[in-house]
Amino acid sequence: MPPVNEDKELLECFAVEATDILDQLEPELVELQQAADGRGGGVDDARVNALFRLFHTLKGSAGFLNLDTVQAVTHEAETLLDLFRSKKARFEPAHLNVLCKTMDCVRSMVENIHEHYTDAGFEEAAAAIVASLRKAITAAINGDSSPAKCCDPVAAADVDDFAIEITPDMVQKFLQECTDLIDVIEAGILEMRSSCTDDVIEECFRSIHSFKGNCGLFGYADLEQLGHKAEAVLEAIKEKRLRATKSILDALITAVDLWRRGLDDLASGGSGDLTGQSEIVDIFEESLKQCGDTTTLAPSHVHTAATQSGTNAVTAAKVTDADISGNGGDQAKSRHILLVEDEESARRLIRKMLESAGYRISETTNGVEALAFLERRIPDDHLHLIISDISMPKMCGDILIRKVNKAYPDIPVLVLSGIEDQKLLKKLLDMDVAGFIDKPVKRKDLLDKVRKGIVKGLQSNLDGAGPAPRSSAGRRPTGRRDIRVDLDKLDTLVNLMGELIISESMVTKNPDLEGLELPNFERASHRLHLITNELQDIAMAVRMVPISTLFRKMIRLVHDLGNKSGKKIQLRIRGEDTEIDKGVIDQISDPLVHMIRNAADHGIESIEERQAAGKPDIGIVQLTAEQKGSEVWIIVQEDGRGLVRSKIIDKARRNELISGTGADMRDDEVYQLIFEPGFSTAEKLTDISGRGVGMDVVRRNIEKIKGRIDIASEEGVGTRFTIRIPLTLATIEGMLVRVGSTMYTIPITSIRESIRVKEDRLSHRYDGQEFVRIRDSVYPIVRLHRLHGITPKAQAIPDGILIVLEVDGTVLCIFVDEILYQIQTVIKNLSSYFGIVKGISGCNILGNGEVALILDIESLMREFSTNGVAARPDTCAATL
Amino acid sequence: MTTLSAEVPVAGNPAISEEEQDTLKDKYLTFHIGNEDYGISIRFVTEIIGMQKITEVPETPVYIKGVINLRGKVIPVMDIRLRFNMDARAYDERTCVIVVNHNDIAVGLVVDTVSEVVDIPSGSIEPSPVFNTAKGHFIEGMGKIADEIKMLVEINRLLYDDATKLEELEQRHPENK
Repeated sequence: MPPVNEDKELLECFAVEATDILDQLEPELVELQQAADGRGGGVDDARVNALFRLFHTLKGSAGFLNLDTVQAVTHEAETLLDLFRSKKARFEPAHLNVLCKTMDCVRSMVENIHEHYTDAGFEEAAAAIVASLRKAITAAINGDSSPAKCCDPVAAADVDDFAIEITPDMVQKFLQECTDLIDVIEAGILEMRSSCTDDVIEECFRSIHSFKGNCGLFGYADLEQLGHKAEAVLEAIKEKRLRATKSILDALITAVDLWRRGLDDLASGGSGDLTGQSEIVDIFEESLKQCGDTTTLAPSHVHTAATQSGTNAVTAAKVTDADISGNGGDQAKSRHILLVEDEESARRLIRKMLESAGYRISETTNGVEALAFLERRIPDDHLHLIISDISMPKMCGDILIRKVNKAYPDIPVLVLSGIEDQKLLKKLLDMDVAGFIDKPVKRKDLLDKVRKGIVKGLQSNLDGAGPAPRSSAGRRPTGRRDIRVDLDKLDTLVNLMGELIISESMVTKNPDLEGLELPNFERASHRLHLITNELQDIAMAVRMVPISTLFRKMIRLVHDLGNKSGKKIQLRIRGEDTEIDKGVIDQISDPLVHMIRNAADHGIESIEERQAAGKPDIGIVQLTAEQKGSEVWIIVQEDGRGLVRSKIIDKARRNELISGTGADMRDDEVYQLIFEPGFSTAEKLTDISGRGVGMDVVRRNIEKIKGRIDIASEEGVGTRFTIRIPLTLATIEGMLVRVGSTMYTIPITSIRESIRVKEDRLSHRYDGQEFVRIRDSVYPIVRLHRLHGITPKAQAIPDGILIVLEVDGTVLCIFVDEILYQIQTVIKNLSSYFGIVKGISGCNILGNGEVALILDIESLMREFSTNGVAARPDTCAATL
Repeated sequence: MTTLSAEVPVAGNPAISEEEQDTLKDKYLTFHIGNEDYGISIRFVTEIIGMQKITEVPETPVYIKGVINLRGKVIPVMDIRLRFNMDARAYDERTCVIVVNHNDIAVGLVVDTVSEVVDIPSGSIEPSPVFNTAKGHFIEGMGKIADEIKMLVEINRLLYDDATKLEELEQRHPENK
């Protein structure tokens, strides 16, 4: 059936969701295989379950949207995975390949759905995949007679309480989505009270469905179970088999509260297990049972169900009911108090204390019973106070309080609180609570607070107004609220931020202010400065995202590379929660893929070669991210054959990249040659890499984001590529210097020191190159004015100042007229009209509106090293 | 910074409607270099500003004087005299920068002085004489108003003639190599 127009939005949602799921699936799948290798085809339950769920979710959503082809494919994949899940078959590499193909097929369908809103046109491809999956399934069932524990599928399906490997990032996303969904669900249910239209029910149903799916995906069994039941109830309502009575809606709202609590728990690192959900589930089940023959449900439904499920506890309540009638006592003191406490000893103690003071006590053991009691009591029998514990089975205190506040605003509630409930307590402060009694309970404290609570209740009764309903406050947003923002908007924000910083210094460092004594202005501008600084930090932080999404893409890549080349390669990932500018992530994606390809293809040897070298069969590629100061290092390391210095030099000489024997070059200089255009030492070309294009592109791309690549290698042991990139592309901390009338900004990270030297420290080589001796080391001097054709103020070195720059152990001094001050500034492009200007990486605008050029120290160094004015202390010393 | 002639309409951006494009079609901003009058289609002109502090940029052709800060945007500045291979002339208070916007790239053009905006219907424009085209190829035509001649500049060639740019770079900056 072709999707109708209004489904487009849903289909788009599906496409996005499915892409997410596929992105998660891929690494899981490959890791499953690796784990299976380790234990001879046995699989990691958690992983298989996770995979199974992902496919299951996909299938469910696809079915819901009538995407039959997607559904067919995912169904077969699910069936296959179920075999592994139930230990009926062993996981073989062939299975992995089939599943990978399945994912590719689903992915292309999803892409098509995203663009054309249909999965039509893929029937053939899908049929092929389905066929191969079926083949795999039959083969797996027949071919495998291993005595693995053959539990029946039903039992296998019960293995739900596991924890899949979930990154905090994923949980965050999950929480985000689920909170949104719950808001929708809650709004829907509340709307159903007044107008129970099909649209409202439909939307509610969909949201619960997605919520359930998400919870299932993450293995939060409690949340999912409740979601499942709620979904069934709504389905019944949707199909008009069940009427949305108040009691059902109340139960649904309670479910929403429970979910929220569960999510809050998860957000604060808990397990997401629910307390009291079984009660609601019972109510739902009861409703569903009845919906076949009963069209109208009794409004008292809630507590009938409750009574049935908690029989013994209710008996306790009944017994106290009986006590009530018999207990006369002093009229003035004969106030009726409901005690809600699950712990028997505490209950008995409090009861004793209160009864000795003449109060009339009823007892219940949890919130559900308490509510049932409230509904059941004789209208004339006024209840003066409720004393409730917080953590109780079934319904917890906070929910009870919320409900009591809503339904019986005239009854004050006292809370029994132990120290373990700090988190809940905070929440309770937003609700209407008459007071808190600390556990363990002290008699005086108890009686005092009870008296006050009752008085308060009576007063509010006299006033005719109950405590203001605070339900909206109770639903206050929790700390993890966030929204998705269009990246363009974010960029605009960051750009404006930059403008603001510039404008700020244009105002506060305005030349018109020079020589004026303006203490008030100074204070105000200082404050402004603090605020803009903070704003800038925040604007930058907004752009930072964890690198994990990028890293996890590599898992599949390495798997495919290993398969193609017939090598065994394992990818290890470290530091994937390192945060990095979104723009940088986009830029390093391609170079990283390239480097991983190279590592797998050139770096890691074939199995035979590895065995001959006495290395383990499995080659290891390690991908690491870490923050180092203002840089992020992304390290690609493998334990392969390493770079061979002589081979590189040979090749470079043949390609005329270097002159001479290269014997005087440092190792890292030799290694850098592989980044030259047209350089490749691979003896055979493969379809993966080795055509000599690539590494130069990698370097260019990395340089585009002001990064660089260091190489360390040892022949036969392995190679390490370190990509060093600045944390953010937008700002720079620099030293402002002046040469003639031109201003330059020098990145502070490359400055080692600045020094004014006397003539006797200087030496001149015969070719005019100048050197300076600083503390027993000799460094070359670059006169910036000569390099850039400027007329300087200072011609003689002692008249100006030398700035000692160091990058990667190479040291160089540049000669400038003077140092002005240190600045933090926004990097601007030097207009695209120029293209790339050698030695300049950009520019920045100064407080007075002038433009300063940002020196590109790396390229400056490179130019000087290749021109033979190598700045290494040892060679320089030799030259002298 | 001083904005010299406010009467010049702001134009030259792609957001201009077709109708406006039409009205701008025959309009040219004229400026002086030496004793000669030149014109540039008003479609490309965004504003005219006074001379301000230019920051030199290394490794650029000699006619690129550097960059200026135009309200937070850094734009390159080209000296038309040097671009035309004429002798440099010290900047004075009449020296102007015409900011043009071509293909979303803003460039400032330094001219001796800006004169006025004139209508030159296409009928009054003669193609540039074929004589010695190699050097005169920045001019796309000769506009006639009464007995005056305005040489009309072809902006694309003015900004992007790479061959010349490279040539200049080689010739003028050998000392930087």
